[in-house]
Amino acid sequence: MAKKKQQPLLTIFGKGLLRENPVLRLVLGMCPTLAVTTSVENGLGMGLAASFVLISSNLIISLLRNAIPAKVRIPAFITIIAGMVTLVQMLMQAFLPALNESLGIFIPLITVNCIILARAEMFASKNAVLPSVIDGLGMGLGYTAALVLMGTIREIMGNGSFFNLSLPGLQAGGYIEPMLVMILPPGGFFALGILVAFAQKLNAYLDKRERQPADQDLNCAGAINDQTACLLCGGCSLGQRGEQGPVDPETAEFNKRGNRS
Amino acid sequence: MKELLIILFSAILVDNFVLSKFLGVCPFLGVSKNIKTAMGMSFAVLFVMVLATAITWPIFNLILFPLDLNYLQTVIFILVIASLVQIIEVFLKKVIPPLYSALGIFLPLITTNCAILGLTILNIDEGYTFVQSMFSAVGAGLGFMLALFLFSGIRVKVDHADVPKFMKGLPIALVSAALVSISFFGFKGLIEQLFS
Amino acid sequence: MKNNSMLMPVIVLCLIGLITTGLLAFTYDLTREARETQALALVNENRLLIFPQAVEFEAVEAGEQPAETIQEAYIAKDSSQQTLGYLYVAAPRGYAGDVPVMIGVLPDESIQGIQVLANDETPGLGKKIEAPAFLSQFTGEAVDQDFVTKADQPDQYVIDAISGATISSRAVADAINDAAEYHQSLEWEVEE
Repeated sequence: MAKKKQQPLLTIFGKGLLRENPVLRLVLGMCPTLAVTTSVENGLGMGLAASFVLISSNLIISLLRNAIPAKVRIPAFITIIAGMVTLVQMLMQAFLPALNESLGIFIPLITVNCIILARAEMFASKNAVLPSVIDGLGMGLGYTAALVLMGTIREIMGNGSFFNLSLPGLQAGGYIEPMLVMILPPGGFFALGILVAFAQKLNAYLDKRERQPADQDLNCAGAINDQTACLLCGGCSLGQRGEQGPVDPETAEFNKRGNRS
Repeated sequence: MKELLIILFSAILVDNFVLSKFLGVCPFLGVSKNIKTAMGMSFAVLFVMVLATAITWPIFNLILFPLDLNYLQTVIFILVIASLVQIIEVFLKKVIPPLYSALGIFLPLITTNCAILGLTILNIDEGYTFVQSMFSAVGAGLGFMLALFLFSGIRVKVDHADVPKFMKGLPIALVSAALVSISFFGFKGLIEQLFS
Repeated sequence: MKNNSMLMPVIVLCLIGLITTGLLAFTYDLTREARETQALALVNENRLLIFPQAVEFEAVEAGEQPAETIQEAYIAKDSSQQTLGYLYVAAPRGYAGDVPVMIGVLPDESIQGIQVLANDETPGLGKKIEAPAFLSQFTGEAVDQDFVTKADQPDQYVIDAISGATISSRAVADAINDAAEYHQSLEWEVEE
């Protein structure tokens, strides 16, 4: 990973926003992205909670990166992440109870959000503290931005409001009736599909302008050569160009190496 | 019995884990490229869901809750699921090789499948008894299988369709998922009519 | 050497587990008060919407044979421990899962107010039962009437159901009927 170390901090920070946006480009952490983005408020809350866990777990794991034996690193990462998630959950119960109620089960489920484990495995366990925190910050911001964008689209189209404020003309009886389906589950899939399409288009444009394509294959958290992270994502291997069989070859090789705890 | 059937069928059709609760969306999108892998993954998920529920329910209700250690729920549950998956893998490899060759490659993918952790936490949140939890686990697993089966059939077709270039791949898959999700709306209210 | 390489991972993992647990236990204690206050405020929020003057909600022990759907029952008391009224939560089946409804009943058996609690009814259709426009029709009515969406006998109270959401509307009516039944069974016990 010598390549990563040479990256300037700004690049590390910036890549999470667009080129390697966890939601729109890496297609990670789909569940909360679809489930809680019925309003901007929920999307923002979820994004910030996940970012907090991402940054703090990146920080702790990069601090401990030389102390954790390779054999038990995955259980160790999971323990640390689950601990951070529980911490966030308690703080939210204490200070933001209403938001905690509306996010419900998706707060504890931050634990299994592939972004966090993937960044721990891919980046924090191999980099110094500062780049790891910056990486967490960038990824977290990109994640939050994508969630807020989803929430904005779905809340405006489905409920005729923005941040719980009714928009004139978009309410029932106005110029455009709210499209209820947008705040229902199908609307989540639909909005995300369109957003990912736009992100693909934008990325293709940037590729052309910069005359240098981004990473060849943004499978699984940019896990081009890292099968472990790929497996940890619960089969999120549906990259834009991911035509190869999603699990079989990697898993076969992975099992041969047998380096799981 | 009626109550158990309501839990079972609600989990399969009405509150479908993937299409209505958005749990396990990653494998839903990731392994739905052909029906065979989709079914292998679904069986592995069903299997682990039932076992994970059978273990986490007693842990919570007999150990964590009486000792006022509820706050360790997330940490303990995810570690239980992770080690359970490991143990199942080793056990199947040694004892039931045919089952291992069918499910083995999917097992490592399951630890971070939020449907498993989500199910175990939801069963506790709902205050289900042990038997109710088991029915809800079977229902969730079957619901996952149904959604994945239907969706993988659609994706095979979509892959051969002529879609605009920028919609190729994931975007069109997501839009198809939206349509599958709409079709499941037809089941809402069904349970009410079936059992009353 | 070999022994050491086997042992180290276990020790490190245990240490991480212990430290995490310790940290969580510490935070748990630290935030206990705030979390309990917030949790109480959250459960009381709906109750206070029905009985704004109440300062205490005393839980009622389940009677001999409460209606199947009754989940909770409380006596609302004001600052001088006077009974303001009774609160019941009944959760009959709606269109998508159970619909918990909180019903406030005054000592004279009229309805003080109704709140629909967290449910999975369809947004835009069934969810409209949460709107004050629908719920206000019950305020002041006698609770022991037979609330129905469609009359099949005389003397029934036909509610103004939400069009397109009859099942959800009926769930609210059912909840009131169940609460009334339970209310009467309790009163009967008190008189004994």
